[in-house]
Amino acid sequence: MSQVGRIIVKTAGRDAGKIGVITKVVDNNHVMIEGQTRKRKVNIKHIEYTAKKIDVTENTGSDEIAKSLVQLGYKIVQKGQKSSSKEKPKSLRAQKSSIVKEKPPKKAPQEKKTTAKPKKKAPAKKKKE
Amino acid sequence: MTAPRHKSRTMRRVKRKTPGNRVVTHYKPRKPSRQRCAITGEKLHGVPQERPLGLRKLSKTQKRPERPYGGVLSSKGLREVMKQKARDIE
Repeated sequence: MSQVGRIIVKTAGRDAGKIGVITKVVDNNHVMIEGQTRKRKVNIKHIEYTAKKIDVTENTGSDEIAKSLVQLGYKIVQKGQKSSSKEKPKSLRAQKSSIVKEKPPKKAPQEKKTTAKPKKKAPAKKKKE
Repeated sequence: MTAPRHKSRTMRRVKRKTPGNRVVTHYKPRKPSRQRCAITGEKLHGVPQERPLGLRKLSKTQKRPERPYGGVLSSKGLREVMKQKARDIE
């Protein structure tokens, strides 16, 4: 299964879950990979093989490998680019700052209804005799 | 006499000797148990066993390993998830 061109998934380490391609078989236990991870030597126990394969040799450049992986549907972030998908485009950012929320117009104070209330008379004090 | 709130076993008892040469019991809160893997159930490495105040003093990298699902899954549990992902690609 450890053939040059085989697509693999890393199962251990900081870059677990990332996809790569075998570019060279070093010995019985190690393999050189490249792809979503950086170009590096990896133990066979830390990768899992998939059924897919692409045409790659030991001397193919990293750009060509990236192109062939993108064609299969995998995203590759090149050096210097941020991988965040939460960035908003500049045009939207400019629009948001120019929009000012319109406050609803203030309602005129309602006139208080004045009804003539009868004044209560204080009870007359009884003088003690 | 012991205060009723100290009779609970959630507080641990510590014997201390005072300057007046008396032995008294002090009551201290217990630390929480160690965090376990969500898949395998084994104890997690790289996650400190501290109360909330102790955790708040630490930085983000000091509370979990630098790995996908770090602090949630052990290395064994992560490997099982990634192997399943490789099989789904086929």
